[in-house]
Amino acid sequence: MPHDVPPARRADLRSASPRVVGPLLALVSIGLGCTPAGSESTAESTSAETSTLTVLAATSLSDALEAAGLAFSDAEPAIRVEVVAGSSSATATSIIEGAPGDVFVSADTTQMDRVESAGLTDSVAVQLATNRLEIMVASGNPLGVDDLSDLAAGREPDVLVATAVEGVPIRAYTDEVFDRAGIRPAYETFEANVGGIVTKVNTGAVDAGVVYRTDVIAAGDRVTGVPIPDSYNVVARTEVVVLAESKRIGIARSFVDFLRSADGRRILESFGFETVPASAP
Amino acid sequence: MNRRGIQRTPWPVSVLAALAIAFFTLPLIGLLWRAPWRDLLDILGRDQVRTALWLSIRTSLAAAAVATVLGVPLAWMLARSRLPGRSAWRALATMSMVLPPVVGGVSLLSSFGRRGLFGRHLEDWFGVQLTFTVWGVILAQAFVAMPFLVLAVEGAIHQVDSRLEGAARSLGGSPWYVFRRITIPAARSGVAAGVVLAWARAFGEFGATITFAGNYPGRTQTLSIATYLALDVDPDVATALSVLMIAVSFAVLVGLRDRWLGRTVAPT
Amino acid sequence: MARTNGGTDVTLRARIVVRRPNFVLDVDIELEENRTLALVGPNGAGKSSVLHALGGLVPIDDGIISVDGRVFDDPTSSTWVDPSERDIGVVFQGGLLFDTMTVGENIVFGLRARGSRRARAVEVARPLVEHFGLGDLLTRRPRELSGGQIQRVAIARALLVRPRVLLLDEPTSTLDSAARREFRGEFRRILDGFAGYRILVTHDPGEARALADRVIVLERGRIVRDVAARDYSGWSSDTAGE
Repeated sequence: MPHDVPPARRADLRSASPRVVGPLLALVSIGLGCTPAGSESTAESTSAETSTLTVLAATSLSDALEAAGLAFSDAEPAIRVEVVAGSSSATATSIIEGAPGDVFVSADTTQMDRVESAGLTDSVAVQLATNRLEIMVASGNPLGVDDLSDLAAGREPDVLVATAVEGVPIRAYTDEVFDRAGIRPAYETFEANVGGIVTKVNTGAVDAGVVYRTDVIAAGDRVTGVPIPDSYNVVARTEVVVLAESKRIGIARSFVDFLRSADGRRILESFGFETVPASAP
Repeated sequence: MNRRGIQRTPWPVSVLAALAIAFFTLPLIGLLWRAPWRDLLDILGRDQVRTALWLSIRTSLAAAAVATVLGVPLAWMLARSRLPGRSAWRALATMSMVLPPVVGGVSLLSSFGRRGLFGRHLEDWFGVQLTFTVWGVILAQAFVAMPFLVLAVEGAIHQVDSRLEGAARSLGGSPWYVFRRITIPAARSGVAAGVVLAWARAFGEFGATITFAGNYPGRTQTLSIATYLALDVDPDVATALSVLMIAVSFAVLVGLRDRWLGRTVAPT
Repeated sequence: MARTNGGTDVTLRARIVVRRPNFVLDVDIELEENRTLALVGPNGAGKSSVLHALGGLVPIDDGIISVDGRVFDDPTSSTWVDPSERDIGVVFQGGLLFDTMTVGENIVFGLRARGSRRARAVEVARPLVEHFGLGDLLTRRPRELSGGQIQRVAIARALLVRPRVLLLDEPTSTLDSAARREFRGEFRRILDGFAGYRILVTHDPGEARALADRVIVLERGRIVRDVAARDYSGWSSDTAGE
């Protein structure tokens, strides 16, 4: 007796294999559960627990700002400061494109102007600190770089120099410095930000780069700094502003005040920045 | 929707496939919507853009060639030879595919950079420097692209009936003769697919290139690097360059598809 | 068509032991030239393995293979002669033509592989091509050919390099019964005209009887019968033909 063959079933939800639907639902829920870093804080800002303050900062200031953030948290335990580093130009662009953040710290006035012109700031930006430029070479200065003229084009022996692309603050500053010294530099590569220059010098891919003094200090024993005469050097103005879209403007303003206070300035100076009392514009 | 015959798509497959198409198409649509059409030709006509495009084309083709010359024999060894530890070699050969490209760049820097293990000797003995040169770009691109070719070709060679090779040997063919007259021709559509894949990967390569070869317009600034850097400075330019890269890739992939890749299923 | 050997030892000796996980092949065969030997037996008996070992496509685990006194494979003394140097022509089951080449290129493959220029190879192949009536097919691709045409090309290809041994693996298995019967006569003529050692593998007892002079029956890797073809009527007295 042949066995009964069940009739063919038309497709319906019940017949969709659970082995497919299960993982699919899991994927969708993970996707829904993932929230961009900023909006997470939207929920938290109303809670009584820790809220996170997001500081979008130029790379050269990230270490100093992290230290300041820790000190700020000591005083205000309910607040955690998160520093997101990037080149000032990239960061400014992302803010204009809608990236969430509470505070913006720029390594020059040009990028700050971009964000201000876009109407994205809570108030007028103020100066946070100043920085100077320095030549960074490999530890021990093996090629004996003495001054800017050693980085000029056509010099023997060839010194490989890295700089940043146009638009990044350090590049504009470097161009100004060489201009004042009347020297035409020869570059091997153009990095996306000052951190890239530091990396190229660190790894020995290039011999020298013009970076911030604070970068030379931060790199410690791995590099040697060659000072640039004050007459050629520029003063890099670091500026800070609270962003208009911030969900915790009050806390952001407090943090900015802290940075400009005596305590904050001490922290910045320990990293090699120069500061002036808060009363200055 | 009244198709005749038994080849009907099961509805879950249709839904998921539609999602997949959307996954690929929506970003393109967004890009085209955002593109600065009025200024497009102007931007694309700029010297820096044309230089970067030409550099990308030259280096990606060279990298694909390097990947082919070295990768096809390796693929054969992995597929056919009785080399001990083949799975280890295979893992090694395809590792750069799994790693982030920047890691590839760092590895290249550590070995072939000026202070690298081998690079320092290249500098001292031959006065050769690979970093920040076109050769560095080609090396970086070949490094990330080769695994794709090796995998594709190994798969293709596996599909070749090894009895054919046996027949050829019994007729008097040396191993090299059989390799080039029998094995590779029989695997040619897989080889072609591998080459195209390697080229595409090399053309779009960015992380290893910028780390090892740096960014110097005209020498090492490929189109992908230019696009990345443009994003910070002028998003319109970045969008325009993105459209250009997509157009080039699309043209190549569609153009080659039927001629080279379509032969995997020969109509009988 | 094939050359004869003027040396003293004109024998094919094959003591073949091949060990696999589920199977052991252990045979001892001696063959004189100008005699056709048929290896018959059920599927999996090891017939094709014997051919592959003789052809050098599979190394033996034990034993010794020699043709005309020349040792091709001897594990104990680590002697191994590459398939390309054994002077053994193999006609594989289904022909195994190279479908990336034309029929003509298939036929001259052996000569070209040994370094002949194309024009010369074509010249040398002409009599063979005519004999097998393949002149019109030379520019075609293997996939366009019928089963019988494929077999003819495969044989021409093998014969062109004038081997000393001719091995045929199930030569008519890919043909329909009508073609098979038609081919038998032709095959007989080909085999008889080949002055060397001839070994044929088949599972069809009728074919063995029609084409061979001597029949060896293999079962599970061993020789169970070794008789003259005319005395052979089937695998064993109580097994029907396949």
